[in-house]
Amino acid sequence: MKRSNFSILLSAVVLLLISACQSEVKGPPVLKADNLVKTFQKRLIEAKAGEEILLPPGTFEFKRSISLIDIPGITIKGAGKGKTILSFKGQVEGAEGMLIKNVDGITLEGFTISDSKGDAIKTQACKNVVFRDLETTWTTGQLPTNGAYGLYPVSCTNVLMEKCEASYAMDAGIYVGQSTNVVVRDNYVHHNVAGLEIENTRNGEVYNNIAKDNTAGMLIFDMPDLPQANGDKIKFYNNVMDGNNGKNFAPKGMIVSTLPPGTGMNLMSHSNIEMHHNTIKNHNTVSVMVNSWFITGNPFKSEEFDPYCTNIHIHDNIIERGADGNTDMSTESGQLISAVSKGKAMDFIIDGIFKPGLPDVNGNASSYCMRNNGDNIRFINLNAHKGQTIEDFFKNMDTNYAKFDCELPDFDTTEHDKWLAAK
Amino acid sequence: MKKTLITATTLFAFILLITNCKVGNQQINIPAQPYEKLSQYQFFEGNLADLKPSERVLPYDLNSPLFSDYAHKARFVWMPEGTSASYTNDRVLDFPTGAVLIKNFYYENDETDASKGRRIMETRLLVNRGTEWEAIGYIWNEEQTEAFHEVVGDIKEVNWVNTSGQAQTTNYIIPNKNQCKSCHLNGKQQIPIGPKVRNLNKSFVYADGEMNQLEKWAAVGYLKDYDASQVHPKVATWDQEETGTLHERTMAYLDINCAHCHNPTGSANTSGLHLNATAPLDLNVGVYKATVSAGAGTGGYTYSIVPGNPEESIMVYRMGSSNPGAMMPELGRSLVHTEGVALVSEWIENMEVE
Repeated sequence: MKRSNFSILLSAVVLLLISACQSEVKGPPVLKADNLVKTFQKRLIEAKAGEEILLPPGTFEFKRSISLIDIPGITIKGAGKGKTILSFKGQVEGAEGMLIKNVDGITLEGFTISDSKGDAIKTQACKNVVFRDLETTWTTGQLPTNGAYGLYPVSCTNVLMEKCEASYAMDAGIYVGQSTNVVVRDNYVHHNVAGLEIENTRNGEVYNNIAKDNTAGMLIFDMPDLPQANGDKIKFYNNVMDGNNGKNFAPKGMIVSTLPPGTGMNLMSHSNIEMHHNTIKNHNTVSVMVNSWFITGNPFKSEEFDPYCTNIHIHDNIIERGADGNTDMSTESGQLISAVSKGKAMDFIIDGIFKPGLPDVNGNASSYCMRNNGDNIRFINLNAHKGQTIEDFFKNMDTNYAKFDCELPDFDTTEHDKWLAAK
Repeated sequence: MKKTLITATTLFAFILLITNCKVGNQQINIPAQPYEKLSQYQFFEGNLADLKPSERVLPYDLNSPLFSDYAHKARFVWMPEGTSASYTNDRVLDFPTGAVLIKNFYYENDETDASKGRRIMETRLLVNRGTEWEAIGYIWNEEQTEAFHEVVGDIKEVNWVNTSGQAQTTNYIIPNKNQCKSCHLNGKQQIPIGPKVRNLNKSFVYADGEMNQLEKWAAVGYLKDYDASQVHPKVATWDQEETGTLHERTMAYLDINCAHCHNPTGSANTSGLHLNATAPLDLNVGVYKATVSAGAGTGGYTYSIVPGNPEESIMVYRMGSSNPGAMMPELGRSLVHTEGVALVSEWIENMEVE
C-alpha cells in the first residue's frame, strides 16, 4: 500500500516534470489577444536581448505606432501574413506603423500591417535584419494619401527580405534605402506606384521577385545629398516585371510621381548593376529605362554624389513589350516618351548622359553594355546631354542599339558573398 | 519617575531631530529602477501639484522652447551633491552622472485667467545614467495628487481657453519610452535637447530674485568652467522681435523644434535636411531641395523651401498638417502651431537667395 502510494507520487512527479519540459519546448508564450495593443508595445520596451515575441492570430487596431529601439536580437513573429493583422486604420500618432531603430539583430516574420498613416514597417540604422513572410497594404485602394513605403529598411547593414508581399503604397511597396549587404528575394509587389526600389544601396542581390500592376515595376536609383552618397554593385536577376501599367497615384513632388505608367525597369544614377535573366513583359510605355540624375532637372549639392549610371550590364533578359498605342499620356515624362516613340511601346530608352572619360570596350563614350535581350529591339538614345526639350530630343536622338553590344567583367562581390554564405 | 521623564524628553527630542532632519534636509536619491510615484523622488515639497522645488532643485527655462500642443512646461534640474555640469560651446552641457532634468507638462485652464488653475498632464525625467540618459515618464491622476510611472504613455483629452479666449480641445498624447528615445537619440546615444548654453542664456525670476540662468547655475555650483566676463552665445526667442532678426528667430525655432532629428547625426539624417541654428542657408536647410522619402509630406510640392513662396514650400505644408503620415515634427504634437507656421512662412516669403 505504502509502496503503491509512493509509485503514484513518483508518476505524478514524473508527469509534472514532463509537462514542465513540454511547456519549455513550446517556447515563449504567445501574447494574449486581449489588450494586445498595449501589451505588445510594453513588451517591446521591456524586452530582454534575444527574446522572441509571438503575436496571436487576429486583427488588432492600433492608434499609435509600434516601436522597438536599441534592444538587440529580438524576433517578432505572428501567425502568418493575413493571419495576424495589425491595422492602423484609426492611427492618430506616428509616422509609421512599426518602427525598429538602432538595433543589432531583428527578425520580423508572419504578420500583416495595414493602413498605416505613413510607412508600414521602417527599420532604421539596424544591423542583421530579416523581413520574412510579411505583408504591407492599404485596404482603400490606390490613394495618394496612402503611406509612402511598405517594407522600408533604411541605413541598415545585412538585410534579408524574403517571401513578403507589398501592395498599394503610394511610393514603393519595397524600398531599400542607403543600406549595405542586401538580399531581396521571392517577394511579390503589386498595385504600388513603384513595386520595388533599391536606392543608394551597396552590395545587393535582388532575385526571384515579381512585380505586377504597379505604375513602374522595379527601380534602382541613387538620390543626391544623402549620408550614403552612392549605391554600388547590385546583381539583379530572375525577376519578373509583368504589366506594370497602373495609374501613377503618387503626390506631385515625389520622384516617383514623374514615373510614366507602363514602365518595367528604371535605373537612375546608380553604378555597377548587372541585370540579367529577368522577364519584362506587357509594358505599354517602356520596358527598361537607364538615366542619369540630370534627367530629373533637380539640383544637387554633394560633391560625393555620382549622378551618372556607370558600368551598367544588361544581358540575357526576356523583353516582351506591351501593345502599341497605349503609351502613357498622364505624366510629363510619359508625354515626352510618347512623342519620341510615336506612341509605340519601347524596349529601351536611355538619356545618353554618360560619365565623362569612361569609354566602353568598343571605344564608345559610355559604360553600358546590352546584349542578348531579344531581337528587333526598339531602342532610343535621347542624347539629352545636347538638350532636354522635346525639340532637342527630336533633333538629337538616335536608335543605335548595336553600339552597346558588349560585355562587362563581373564586379567584385567578395564582401557581400561572405555575408550571404553565412546566412 | 525622573528617569522616565528624562527618557521621554530624550525620545521627544530625538523624534524632533528626526523630523527636523527630514524637513530641513531632504535626501534626493535616484534609484536604479524608477520609483512608482513621482512624489517618492522628493523633487518637490508641500503639495505636489504646486511644483515647489526642494532645496537644490533649480527651475529653468529656454529662450525658444519646443512646441508641444500649447502645453506649458515647468522645467527643473537637479544634480547630486558636489557635482556640476561643464560648460560647452555648441552642444548640450556635459552633465554629471546622476543629474536629472525634470519637465512638467501642463495646461492653464484659462490662459486669460490664471486663477482658474492648471492641469498637469505628465512629468518626464531624463536621468543621466553615466553611459547614457534614461527617459522616465509619469502620468498625473485626475485629482492632481500624484503622478504614476508608465512606459507606454497614454492619450488624454484636454480642454482649455486660449489667450484669445477661445475654447480649445485636443487629444494630448503622452509619449511612450521609445518615442522619448526617438527624439533624444543622437547617433547611438540618448541625450537631452534643450539645455545648451545658447538656450539657457537668459534671465529667470527665482524665488530669491531675478538672475541670468548661467550665472545662477554657476553660483549654486551647477556649472563649472563658466567665465562670467565673456559674452556667451544666445539664441533668439522666436516670438519676441527684439531678440533677433526674422532669420535668427526662425533658425532658433527650427533649431529647437526640428534639429534634434534634422542634424547630420540625428534620426532624420537620412533625409539630408539639416536645421540646426548655425546651418548655412542652402540646400541642406531645404532651399530648392527635392525630397527623398517625404511620402504624403510633399503635399504635392517639389521643394522643401521655395524662396519667396511659402505656399509651395514642403516645410510649410508639413508644419501645417496634422496628418500623422505627413506632419512635421512627426511626434509631440497633434495640433498645428499656427504662430510657428506664420513665422516660417514669413521667413520664406522674405528669403532671398542667389
